[in-house]
Amino acid sequence: MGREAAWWGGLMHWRRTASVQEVSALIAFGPGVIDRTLGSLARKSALFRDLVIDHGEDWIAIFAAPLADESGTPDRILPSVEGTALYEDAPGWWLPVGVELGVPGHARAVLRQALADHHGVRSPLIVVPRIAEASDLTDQADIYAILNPSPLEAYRLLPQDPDAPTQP
Amino acid sequence: MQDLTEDRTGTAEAVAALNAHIDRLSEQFVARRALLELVMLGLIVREHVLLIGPPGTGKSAAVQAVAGAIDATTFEYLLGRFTEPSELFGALDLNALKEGRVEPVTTGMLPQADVAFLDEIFLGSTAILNSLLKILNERTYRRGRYSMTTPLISCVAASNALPDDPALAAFADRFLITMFVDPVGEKELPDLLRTGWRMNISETDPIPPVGKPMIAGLHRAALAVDMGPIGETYAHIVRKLRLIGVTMSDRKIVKAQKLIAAAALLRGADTAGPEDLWPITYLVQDKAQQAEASEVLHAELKDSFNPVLTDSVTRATYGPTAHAAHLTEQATRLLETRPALNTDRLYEIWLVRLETMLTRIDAAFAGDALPQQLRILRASIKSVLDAPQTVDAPAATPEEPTPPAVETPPAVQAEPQPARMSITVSGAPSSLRPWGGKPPGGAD
Repeated sequence: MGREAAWWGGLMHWRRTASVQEVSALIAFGPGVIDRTLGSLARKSALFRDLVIDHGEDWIAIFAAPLADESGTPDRILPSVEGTALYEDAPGWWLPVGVELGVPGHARAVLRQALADHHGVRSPLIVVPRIAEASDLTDQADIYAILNPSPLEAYRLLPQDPDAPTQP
Repeated sequence: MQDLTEDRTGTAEAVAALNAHIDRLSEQFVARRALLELVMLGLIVREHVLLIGPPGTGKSAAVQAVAGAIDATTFEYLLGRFTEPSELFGALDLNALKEGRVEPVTTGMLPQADVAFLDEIFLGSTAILNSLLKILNERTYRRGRYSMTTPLISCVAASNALPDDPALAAFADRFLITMFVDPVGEKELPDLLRTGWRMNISETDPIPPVGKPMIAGLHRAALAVDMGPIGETYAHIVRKLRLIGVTMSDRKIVKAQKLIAAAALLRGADTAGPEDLWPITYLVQDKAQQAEASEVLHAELKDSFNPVLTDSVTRATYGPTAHAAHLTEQATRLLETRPALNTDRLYEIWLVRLETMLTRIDAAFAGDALPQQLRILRASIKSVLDAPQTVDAPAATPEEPTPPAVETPPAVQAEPQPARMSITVSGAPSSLRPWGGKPPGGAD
């Protein structure tokens, strides 16, 4: 989808914060990132096949998968792959670890909804604010709509054959 | 030498028993592990704990559960403005009175209790608080010429707020540990509801209570901890706290060393180190100042770590420090649980968990910002994951550490930032979309 401009009267912005959030997803960008990431995942344990994946033309998002061992201890697994770590700021809304909405807690739900309504998108969404290196604050972000999440096992993972297509 | 070894074994067993109780109780009280830990810490150091927070936050139930976990006589009372001293300390013994003696019947009352929980403590009358002061400070109950030594190990008191009255504030200062208890957060609500419901319908197997001799043994062992190495740092921390306006009495500063010693003991050390200074935060009796203290003391408390009092450390220290301590504790535990056979399916699960831990560590800390302990653990995890694997599934091959989490994609960084918000909405083109699946929120 194309870029959209929006004016929020300075209300909506994101800021850097301590990186203490619990990572529950990853997003990676760039040309060829989908093949690279899927190829990397193909070389990992079969237990990662339950991971949920979605992607666009030049981005791919990986969401943590539940894992229960024999003792029934609930756990979530997420591979170590190149990308930006994300946490679930609110149900269905992911932000990069170390970034938060720069508005008071009580206003966040309303502003999230307004943002989604304005751009005609619905959660689940990944919001990646554009914070410049020298800055701690921004009022710009890229939104990645998770339209078609699928388990990794739905993709053909053939690491031995580099020419094989990796899209299902 | 043999005695020393036996002492250490006994202490390790006591710590393990205490840890088992905290683990079990924290399953029953969502987001209240820190409270349980601090009450236990109060028992070990024979000091008193003050809980400040709104009603209905589980303070009373959690304290009752801790008291139930130790083989001790407990006394619990909700104070009001019209509470009579006899309701706490016992009514007069009429037979003794007939003989001209003023003696209370203290059986089952506060003077006979090992552990006391007093809710709405600051509503007590002057007479009550004066008698209580003597019990808290001197473990002595006095009424007229009648005097008795009380067995009190620790008193846990609760209130909605700290008092403004200077006289009551002086009384509050007698409580060495102060914890501010907030309602359970939004994210923990489902857990709270689930746990609350489960408590109605099932009971877990009880763990044998920790005996009073065991608690007394831990107290003695804590007093034997070598405090030498942290003396100077502790003095520096106190000076720093005074600079930001925190008022701490000399009595409190001296007594707090017991908390540091007990933290070292529960860490398995007989010498206090920089890992054990975190309890200082709980000396501060003001919510905002307590938070400020953990931030101001960021550098001094950066090595904080305790495998038993995990959540107390988290609350006492500045966010990234607490997060590092949390990750350190979890990574240590994970590395210790390596399955014996690397052909076992459990081994594969273990490797996947290690890789997840690596992802979590890299998400939280860039390479140059990794705390020392976590750096060592990360290297251990990496070496296990990089080693050739013999499990059936393909070996886990982690990539290089993820870039610092806060960094935005390079393509985005290069763009100028206009004053107004500009948003790119991206979605997968329909030609690239695989078939539908569970939404990620549900998958998590």
